[in-house]
Amino acid sequence: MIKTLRKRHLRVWIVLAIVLPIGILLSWLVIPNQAAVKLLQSHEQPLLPVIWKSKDLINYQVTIRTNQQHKQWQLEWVNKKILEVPSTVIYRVNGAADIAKNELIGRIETRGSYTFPLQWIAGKEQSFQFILYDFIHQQIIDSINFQL
Amino acid sequence: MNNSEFYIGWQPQAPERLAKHSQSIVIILFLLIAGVGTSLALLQKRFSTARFEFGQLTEVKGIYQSFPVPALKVFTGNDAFGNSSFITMPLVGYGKSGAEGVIAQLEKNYRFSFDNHEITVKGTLLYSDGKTLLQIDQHDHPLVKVREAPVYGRKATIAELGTVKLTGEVLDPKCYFGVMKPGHGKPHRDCAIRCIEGGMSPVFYVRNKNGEANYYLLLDEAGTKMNSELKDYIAEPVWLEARAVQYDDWIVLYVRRGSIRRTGGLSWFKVKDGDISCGKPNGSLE
Amino acid sequence: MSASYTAVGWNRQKKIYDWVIAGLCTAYLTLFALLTLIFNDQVTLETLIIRSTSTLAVLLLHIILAIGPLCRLNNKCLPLLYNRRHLGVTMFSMALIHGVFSLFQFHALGNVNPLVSLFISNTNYSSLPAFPFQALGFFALFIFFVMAVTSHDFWLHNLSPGIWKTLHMFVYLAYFLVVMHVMLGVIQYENNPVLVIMIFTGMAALTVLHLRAAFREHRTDSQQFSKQLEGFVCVCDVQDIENGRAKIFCIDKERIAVYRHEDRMYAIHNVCKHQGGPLGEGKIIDGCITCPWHGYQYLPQNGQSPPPFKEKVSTYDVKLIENKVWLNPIPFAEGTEREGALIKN
Repeated sequence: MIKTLRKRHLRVWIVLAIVLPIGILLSWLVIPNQAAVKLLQSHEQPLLPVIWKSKDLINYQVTIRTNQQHKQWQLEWVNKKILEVPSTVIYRVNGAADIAKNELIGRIETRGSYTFPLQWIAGKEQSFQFILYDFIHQQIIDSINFQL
Repeated sequence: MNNSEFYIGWQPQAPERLAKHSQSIVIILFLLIAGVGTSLALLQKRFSTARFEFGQLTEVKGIYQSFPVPALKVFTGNDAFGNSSFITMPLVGYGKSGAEGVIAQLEKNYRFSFDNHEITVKGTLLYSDGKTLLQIDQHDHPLVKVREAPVYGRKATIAELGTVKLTGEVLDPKCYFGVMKPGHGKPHRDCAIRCIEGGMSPVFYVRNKNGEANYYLLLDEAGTKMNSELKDYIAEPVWLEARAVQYDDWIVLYVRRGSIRRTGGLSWFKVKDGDISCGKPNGSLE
Repeated sequence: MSASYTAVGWNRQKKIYDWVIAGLCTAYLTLFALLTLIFNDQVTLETLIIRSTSTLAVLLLHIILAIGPLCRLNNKCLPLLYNRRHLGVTMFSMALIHGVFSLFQFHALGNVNPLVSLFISNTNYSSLPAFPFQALGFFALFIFFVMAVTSHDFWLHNLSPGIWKTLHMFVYLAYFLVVMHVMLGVIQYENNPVLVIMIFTGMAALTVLHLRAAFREHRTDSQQFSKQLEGFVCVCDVQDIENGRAKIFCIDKERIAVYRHEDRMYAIHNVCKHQGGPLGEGKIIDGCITCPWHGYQYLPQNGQSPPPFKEKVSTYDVKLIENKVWLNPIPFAEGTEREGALIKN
């Protein structure tokens, strides 16, 4: 290298020694952090006070709730993991051969807690067997059975 | 290096001690490569489980509604209390474009609007975190069936959720819910801009302190698309004020004009002239 | 060293060098891909290609930039320098794969041309966190492209070593652009501090190496010579210079290599005509001063490359007075025959 080039190299690296750490530091400082917010919900149902039965599974926690008189029933579904299917519909098994003919409970989407009212008819035996069904791919994802 | 040792690249053999030294350097380089490669591979954030069923066409039957975004509403049944349940699938086009162009062409061919008509289309599903979209591509001849008369007069179940002030990220739903990993954040910013400029309906992604997410559709105060206004605020945390309305399984934010602004970083000109009228983001719900 | 141009003048050392490069790249890409697929199996193929090639390119860039100062600080590292341009072209190839895949992934199939989209999509130049980092990567890749296509000796000869070297100094600008491309791009998303520390460590290591080497060179250039006589400057004792080797002296503006060959002392310009290598750090092989960088050769008595080669450097007058070496810093025309100074036993 000729002397001019050697000098140029030195100057370039003196500049880089100043500019690069500043650039790295500033870029690190400006990394944005998305603040947490309360998620919007159209209707939040108050949870019934009595936990009748509960199952804690890997992907979800499922709880059957009721009131003191056992006249109101509720399904509390905590979706713990991100769903990997296009649709997840909960049916309550009523014996129909066609899954879609079973009693529709509702649909779960993002992670979080969902509550669904369960129909209670006096004198009729309650079924607490549920099917998680992918309506789009028409396949059963899971089934959960609470023994009476 | 002693006087006898001198490396000349074009000679067949390097001096023995220099060759050994070079071997040591090569070993160090392999260790460096292994260390850096392992660290970088393991330090990457987890990729999402989003799916894009590339090459796989699925037929879906539902009610087409153009508002709030072009979407197919798939009826899943009535529950025991008589409430109807729908899966709303926003439609997206091929590549980085919205579905309006494809729908408009089909409507032109059929000479009537598909709004509130039952249609069966085949397209490519993409889904993640409980949200599902359908890509329709005119090359796939997506329209399988359409009923000429509107079969369905029901409007979506609408619930007013009031005015909200939220911090979140504007993203394009096609990439986020399926096509790209990561489909949000800075590396994906240009793509998200291209998708939203291409007509894709923008989605606002928020999360709570537990990391649980919600996704809202964005329209302006008048209920029209605001894709071009969003260009400068895509793929980074922004604050906005909006009227929230739930349409079945999607919430729409009617964003107050000029209320969007960046929330973080040492932005040199963070507040633009048009944003000055807006208050501080102290009214978020949490 | 060749009299005509071929695509690559292959020899055993170059082949070994290239096999090592291929081995390093294959090992890195395989390791990165395997670990990602095992521990982060939801990755898409495009992202895997974009990330593996980009990280490899950045790593190779650090290695390339370290070779120069390492050789100046320790001449045992000179084998690394010999075929550095192949390492550079490999790095460019990796960066190009990253760039092309990214351009397609993020800009293709949209409503404008992907190259136009690259510049009009994100235009937040006034905001640091929102800064269009992809443009930084594009310009860095452009510099690497120019360097890669001009890396052949054909361009070195036709552009002249001065222009060629100046052109290739843009690699430092490219390095700055790459660091900022990473910091304002993927690091804004992958905000793990370990990644920032890795980038910082790479930058700090390169800066320290370059500054150490530059200051050492600066010391050589700042040598003061007090004794002067009729235009000659007393530079050292005869026994300070080993037979077949040289010492370098910087008098006035340029460095001069004073060689001891058999029973004579010769002086030639220190800068090799090929890439500006330091001839004074070379050795006399088969009667020729041999450049330590790429083995270009010059005859000590006239500074000419042996036929059929045509390179020439300036020669200088040397004389010996009572065991002292005296050097006249006024150069003779390149290739001028000088008889050298006879060493009396």
